[in-house]
Amino acid sequence: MKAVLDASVLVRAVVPGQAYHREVRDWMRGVSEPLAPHLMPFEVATAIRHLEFIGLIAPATAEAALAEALRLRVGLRASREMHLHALRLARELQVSRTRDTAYLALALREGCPLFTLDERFLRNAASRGYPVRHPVADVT
Amino acid sequence: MNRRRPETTFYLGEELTRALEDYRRTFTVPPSASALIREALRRFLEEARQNEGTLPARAWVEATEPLVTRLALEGVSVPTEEILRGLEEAEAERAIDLFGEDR
Repeated sequence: MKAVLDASVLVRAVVPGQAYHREVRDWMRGVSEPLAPHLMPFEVATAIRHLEFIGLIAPATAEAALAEALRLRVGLRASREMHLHALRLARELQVSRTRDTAYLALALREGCPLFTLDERFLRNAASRGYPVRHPVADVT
Repeated sequence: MNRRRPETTFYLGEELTRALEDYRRTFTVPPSASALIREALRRFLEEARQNEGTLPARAWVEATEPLVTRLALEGVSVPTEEILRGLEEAEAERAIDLFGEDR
């Protein structure tokens, strides 16, 4: 299955936690072509650093988790059109930032769903008919 | 006897086609221009270089299992909300980098 993955899915897969960790890992086995915008590795690094900064994981754990996360073969994409589309999507979804919509723009360009754990964004986009899904939960 | 590896040929063709489409979307040039092919190939090779040392998803899940098991045994348990908060920080950091905002 071709799929755009956002950074939340990748971080959830590599760091144990209460919700969806094991399920997301199992789900990822079926993703034959993971895709993401070029900003994804930076986001993964920042999210893991955030977990370290607030004391949820030790520095050594952060290093190991990031190193392992970056071993996933993801097709990273960037284009001028994608960012312009992200801007327009952010306007349509009435969000101030274009991070999530950059992922969505890529998914629309590639003709595949975007998977995220961000349920607020998911509901917002899905309610307008965009192909945004939770990898394992039924969020509508 | 030499045997062809059709799966490799398919992979190259698919990736190159995508790179060509990307390039056509970005720049208005005649599709037959040799520069188009060179640029698509350059992008393809660049992506292949970036993918060195990476694993397809199924293999990646297997390869990361020891780390995940170790972290679980150490009691690491991170709520999804904190991951999402970290991503919000990434966006804010990028804004600061780009615009010099002081938040």
